[in-house]
Amino acid sequence: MRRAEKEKEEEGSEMISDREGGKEILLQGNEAIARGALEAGVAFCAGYPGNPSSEIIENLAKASQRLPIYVEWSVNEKVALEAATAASFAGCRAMACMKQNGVNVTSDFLTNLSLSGTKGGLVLVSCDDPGGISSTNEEDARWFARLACIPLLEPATPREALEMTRWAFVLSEAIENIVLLRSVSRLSHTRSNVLIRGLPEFDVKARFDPDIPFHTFPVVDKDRARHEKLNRAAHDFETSVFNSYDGPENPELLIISSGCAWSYARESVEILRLEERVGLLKMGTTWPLPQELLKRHLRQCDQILFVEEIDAFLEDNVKAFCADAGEETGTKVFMGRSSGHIPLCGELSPSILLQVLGEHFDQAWEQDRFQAHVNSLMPEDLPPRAFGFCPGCPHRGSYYAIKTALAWDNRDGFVSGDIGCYSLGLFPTGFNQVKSVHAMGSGLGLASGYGKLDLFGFDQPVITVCGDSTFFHAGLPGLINAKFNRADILLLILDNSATAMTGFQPHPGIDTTAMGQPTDPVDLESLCRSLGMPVEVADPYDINESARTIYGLLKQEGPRVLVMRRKCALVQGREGGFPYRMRVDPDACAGEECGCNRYCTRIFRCPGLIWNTLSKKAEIDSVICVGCGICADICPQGAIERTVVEEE
Amino acid sequence: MMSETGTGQRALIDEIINQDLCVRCGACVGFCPYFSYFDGQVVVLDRCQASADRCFQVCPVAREQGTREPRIREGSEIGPIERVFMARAMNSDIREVAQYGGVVTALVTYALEQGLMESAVLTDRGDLFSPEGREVQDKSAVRQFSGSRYTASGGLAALNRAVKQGRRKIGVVGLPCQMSALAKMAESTEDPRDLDDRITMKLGLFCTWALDFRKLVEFLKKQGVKGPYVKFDIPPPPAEIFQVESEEGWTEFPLSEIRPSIQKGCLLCEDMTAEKSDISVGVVEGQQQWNTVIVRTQRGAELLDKASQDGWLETGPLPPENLEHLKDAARGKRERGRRVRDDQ
Repeated sequence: MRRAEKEKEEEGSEMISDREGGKEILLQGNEAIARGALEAGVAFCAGYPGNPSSEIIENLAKASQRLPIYVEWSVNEKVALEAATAASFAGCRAMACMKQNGVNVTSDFLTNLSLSGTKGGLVLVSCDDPGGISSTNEEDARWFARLACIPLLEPATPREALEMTRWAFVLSEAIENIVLLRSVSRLSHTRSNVLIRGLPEFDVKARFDPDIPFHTFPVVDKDRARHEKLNRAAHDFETSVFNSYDGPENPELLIISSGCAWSYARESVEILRLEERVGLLKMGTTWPLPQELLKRHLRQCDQILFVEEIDAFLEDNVKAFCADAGEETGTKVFMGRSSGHIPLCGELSPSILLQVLGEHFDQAWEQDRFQAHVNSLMPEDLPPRAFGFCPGCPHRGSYYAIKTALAWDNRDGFVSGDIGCYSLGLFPTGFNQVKSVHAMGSGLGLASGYGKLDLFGFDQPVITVCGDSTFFHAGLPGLINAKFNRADILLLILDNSATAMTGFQPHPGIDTTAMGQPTDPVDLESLCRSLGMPVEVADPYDINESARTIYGLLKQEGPRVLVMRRKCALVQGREGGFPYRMRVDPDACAGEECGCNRYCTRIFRCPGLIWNTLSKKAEIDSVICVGCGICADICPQGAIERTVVEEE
Repeated sequence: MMSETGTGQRALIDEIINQDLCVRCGACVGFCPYFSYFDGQVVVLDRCQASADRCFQVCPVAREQGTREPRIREGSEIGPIERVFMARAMNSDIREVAQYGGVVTALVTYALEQGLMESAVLTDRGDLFSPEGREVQDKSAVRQFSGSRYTASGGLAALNRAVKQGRRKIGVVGLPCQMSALAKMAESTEDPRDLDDRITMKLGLFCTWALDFRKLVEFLKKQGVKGPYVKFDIPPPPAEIFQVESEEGWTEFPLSEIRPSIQKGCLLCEDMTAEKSDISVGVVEGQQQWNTVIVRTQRGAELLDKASQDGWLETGPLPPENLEHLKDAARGKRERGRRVRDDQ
């Protein structure tokens, strides 16, 4: 089944570089965005991986094998947008793709770029993660459109994602400014049939015209020009096909909705058979507001419900507009996040909207029957699933060594964490060692601060952990700060030689680019040594030696670096796997006895180890175990045996 | 039977470790994965949540309620005695590396050579980190372990590891607290091992107190004496000094400056001469080349006699005034221990 899925995926990515058009193909939302960019003749695409955005650049990178386009994984999102902007300044169409956190990283450039304006069509794609399913936050990147005074587009379906992306380049060139296109997880990762058009010739010539500089001066004049550009976009939005109304002439309730949330609203209206009572205004162009269009629809109805993902963006903006246009639109009753009708936090779903609409129209939607059906599909003995590192994950070894070293050190030391798989160090899978996680590189910045608190009696050792990709992304400034300000900081770079969490995208420490071309990797150790600090390297699979090394480093002062180097277990698996076959000797296993008490399954918790409740012994789950061999070193009885797998 | 004070390791953590009363004997380390000895500290790596509490049962600092004798018996100052005398290694090379007469080094080397011991649990000199216990099977390696440490070493962790390796005929060299811990291990209802069968010889060392290694290192660093430290020495009274040998040579401190680094748990201890041993060995005041030897058991006597007959040891009578002095010192320690414990 896995192979079939993979083939289907590869077929999809081949299809997105198909020059022919006029047919329907099954595309994921992110593939549709990539195809839309190709249909617009995009020349330059850059991004930094992050769920739910990563597939856009991944697919474009594959397309670059067949089409004359340039695609890169950049060191971080700000650089991605800057690199893409260079192409725009040279007259090429360009795109930068990232998740919502990435837009924060670009924001300093973005708010200045929108003053200077652009030349070749430039589109910034943000894929937001409602509910923070694979993020450290639940953030609505749409505010950046207001902040930077740029147009905002919100596709609702894969088909619309393709069409809107293609049009975004046209709009960008028409107003000479960057356009923000916002997707959310459910759109980025949903698949549906999409009508594709043929691809253009890709015969663009890049040239920067020295007579036309791009800068922000004089600031006020540029700001005025920026607002005029936005007004031109607003004008276009009045007649945009991406805004549509479905419902009676004078509905009892008007739902104003955008993106994926629109499809939840439509589904709910249909299930409750409210088509004759509810009007559904779908907004695809959500900033600036198409005011005349809004006025027309607001006059239809006095009860307004806002349905949108994450923040009350449309809601607040429409309400503010109504305060200006009140004489024409009349007084409204607004329902949404401020009124409490829509949950303030968390991802929306059809069932939430069924609940809201059911209550509003005093109509039962058979939630009980729905819930009973859901329950019937779930086995009763489904075990609770905690976050966990993969079997063989080097991070488990790293955190085990950290735990041991901090216990030996015995001064209440702790870990300042960062963004990556290893953020799971917050949880039992990482022995709860990590005590703070925020943004890319923030673990180092915090550590450099702790490293100066000795002035106020602070005497706890702090370890900061950072992945290799995260280190390049935003970690380096924190380390340089620690060096310059003479802060005590012990950085452990958890180098698994991949941007593992988001799907093994290459980064500057890897010898291959996004387009598959060979490159010279940046050498982590040399880089850190060049800052004049001691750098050591340890193997996270050698937990005892690693713990001793960490302990020794904890006793030192000033900035110092330990590279914990071992490839991601999944990458190792792809490269031929692990050398060991594991077995638990049931006679040696002490089980729940004094001297063990299920150490391997209760504390070490690799999913490859299981507790047999009948025999009261630990066992290896041979389906899950990958044979990394670490657990043989943690068993107090030496009951876990590793033997080298014979070559077949 | 379960201890009243709690289940699993909780009592040990609450009553001993968190009270800073741990003397780092190592009895709780190496049997289970929840404790570790490293660089002078016994630490809790994880919470075991088991109901059994072997770790608390074997802790020499933990005292069962009501088992203490009401008063110090006359003549019991230095524990059970078969014989008491002075001795020294015949081999001058051994005496060269030993702190005093080299009796312990000679006995262990001899026992390994004769197959009376299969392995010996000794304390190393430490390198990057503190001294720690090691299992030694090679008789020629024994002399690398000679000399006094004056700091705790978690040595019994090495015994626990050796037993896991299936070793039999183990000799253990240790401090009074470690000899008590061995006795408690043998008695523990939660310790499934037949330690009496496995341990063939318990060689106890006289001890007034031991230093907290990390406190000592912190003190030395503050005084500008950098590690690694080659050797520590406390010459017999009335010198009242502590000597440390580092790369920069010998440095001396008044003993009063070192006393704050004494392990708090040592001040509760009432045993100076390692009363639970087979043979106890210590200094002879005023005679740097000799050891005081107290033979306490039949098997201790047998080892000692064989070693003497085979020319490994030279013995002589302990001058009566030295014995009286030893008893005074031992009584002093016992009285101090009672006082401190009563004051708690």
